[in-house]
Amino acid sequence: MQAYNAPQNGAAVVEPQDSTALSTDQQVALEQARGLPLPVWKRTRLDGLEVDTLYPTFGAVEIDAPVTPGLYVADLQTALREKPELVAKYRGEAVVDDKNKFVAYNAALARDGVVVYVPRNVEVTEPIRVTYRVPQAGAAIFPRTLVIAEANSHVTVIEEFTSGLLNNQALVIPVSEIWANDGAHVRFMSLQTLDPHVSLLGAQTAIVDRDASIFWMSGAVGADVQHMDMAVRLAGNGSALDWLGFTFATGKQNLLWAPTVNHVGLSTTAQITWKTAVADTGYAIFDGMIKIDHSAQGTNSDLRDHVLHLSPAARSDSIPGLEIDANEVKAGHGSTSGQVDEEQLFYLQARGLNRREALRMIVLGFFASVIERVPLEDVRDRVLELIDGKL
Amino acid sequence: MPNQQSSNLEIRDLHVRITGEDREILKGINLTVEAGKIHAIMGPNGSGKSTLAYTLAGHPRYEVISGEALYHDENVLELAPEERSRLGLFLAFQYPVAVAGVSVANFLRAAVNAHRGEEGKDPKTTAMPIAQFRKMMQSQMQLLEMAPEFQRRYLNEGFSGGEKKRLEILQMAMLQPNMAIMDETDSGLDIDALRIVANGVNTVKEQNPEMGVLVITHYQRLLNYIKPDRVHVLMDGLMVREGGPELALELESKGYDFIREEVFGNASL
Repeated sequence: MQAYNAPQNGAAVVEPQDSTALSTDQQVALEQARGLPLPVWKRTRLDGLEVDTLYPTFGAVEIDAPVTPGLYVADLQTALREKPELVAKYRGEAVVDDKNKFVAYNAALARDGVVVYVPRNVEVTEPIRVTYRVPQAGAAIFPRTLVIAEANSHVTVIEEFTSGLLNNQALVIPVSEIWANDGAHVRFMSLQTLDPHVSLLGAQTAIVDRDASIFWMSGAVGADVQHMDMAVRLAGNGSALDWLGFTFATGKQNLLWAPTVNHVGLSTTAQITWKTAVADTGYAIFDGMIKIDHSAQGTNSDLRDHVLHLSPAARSDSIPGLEIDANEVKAGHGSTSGQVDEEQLFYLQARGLNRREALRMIVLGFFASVIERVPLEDVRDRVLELIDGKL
Repeated sequence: MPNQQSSNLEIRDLHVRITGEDREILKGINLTVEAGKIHAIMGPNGSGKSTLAYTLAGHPRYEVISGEALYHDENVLELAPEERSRLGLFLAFQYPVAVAGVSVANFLRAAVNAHRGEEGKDPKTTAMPIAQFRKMMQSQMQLLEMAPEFQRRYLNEGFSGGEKKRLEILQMAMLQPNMAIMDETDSGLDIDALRIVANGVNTVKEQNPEMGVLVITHYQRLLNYIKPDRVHVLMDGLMVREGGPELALELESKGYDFIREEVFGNASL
């Protein structure tokens, strides 16, 4: 395949207009970020990114949180003032900042963000909703989400990267970090609904301790280019992950998800199921990996991607990988790829649906097995609406 | 909505081939299916029975070389498959198609509402209210001896042969067509499933006595349950014989060869 080239501006990504406004730590981080090489991503189109035209912008976060005794939810600036030791303890601890140039820029420039802290045994029944909205063309935003769920707590966080209609480029460099401590249950749903002028280059990480579990949903329908590296570390014995993802790449979208699951603890389980549809000249990539450490005996793990091609010019790469270093494990991985069946279209048309309605029904049906497992009705409806909106 | 007044389906000199191939499969079919009547087409394998059914429904695999099929003053062969359906034509498939992720109930609702749509009108204003739809679906499912959980299953996915055919009849019951073509509805059914499916067709016919029915079958067996008014024999792409219900019995006892000999003069042809 044709590898993509680097963005036009070689070394720097986005420069703040006034770096003196940054804290000392941030200035150090910025120096570090500048010095990092651009990643070599052969499946992510970076060469169209005009970084010289972009400038860091703040004030892009909207937070909607329920009132629950003990629960702490604040935007990052407030949290830095009110709970500096909490932020210092967790920020950057799940994500390795100096590995990836974009993540390093987030470390240097993140001002928009949210900190969710759920104390031990607290069950938050209503979801916390976080929206990062690109305010205008030319903006570069650096969202940072920290979710800390202490032992035996329950919390649901719905994160969305979005924008209005834009007429020019913008950039989102997000980092999300999640901690599920012993016995905690975290539901994390991340949606990407950006205007097709926007690029998103980010990282999301979770660390799951003993008997804790994460339900994670990742969905991408928007953006021009998306490259999201994601890593879940099943650190504690008995920890579990249930991960659903979907991608719908249309137009000339280039959307990549790279989920990695690392089994470390004993008897950990992971189920990763993705549905990917590509139309027009869209290009979607599922680059998944399950790593089972030598310590992780008794692990049960499964990684699947199913791809539906809606046009001959659309492309997809599905790369489910498995690295096993333990001997008593169950692990499976695989991908399927298919096209819309003319016999299905005719069958539905023969019942009065026009071709467009028939196609819509088949594509929504394709995504149904993932959408039906999303635990919140309003998120299910929203996902259906987003997919439907592209048909 | 299709015109409710009764109408015959008139097939005139219909020549059909598989798209992209030279050989004719239907070589000049003439047939009138009368409103309110049950017509049966019988014929050996390869005679063109399913080609006729698919051609009338508009399957892209079949190309009309010449001829017409008039229904409600329109040559339906010039219409898209969905337009034929909305005009009141219904094909019960020999091999119903599975669609993962689409529940029976959602599909039926989309189909019913597609039939209620009117040009230039917002589909929301013409759609059947959900309560009315549910009531209608439940009562039709009861008549067809279908368990309620059937509606939540994915369309034909993992269905037995009998379940698939019953779902075809349920679709017919929901769409209330005025002209129904049953393509080998008996194939792959055991005797109990055959009885249920045939009773379903008869029930739908009782609900809408003006409906014309064209039953396509290889065997006489189905016609013990769905009593035809007229029987037509299709052989090598031509209608070669027509008669009353007794013709089906004669075919059952003598096989197709006696007609072949009479028509083509040589049974080994």
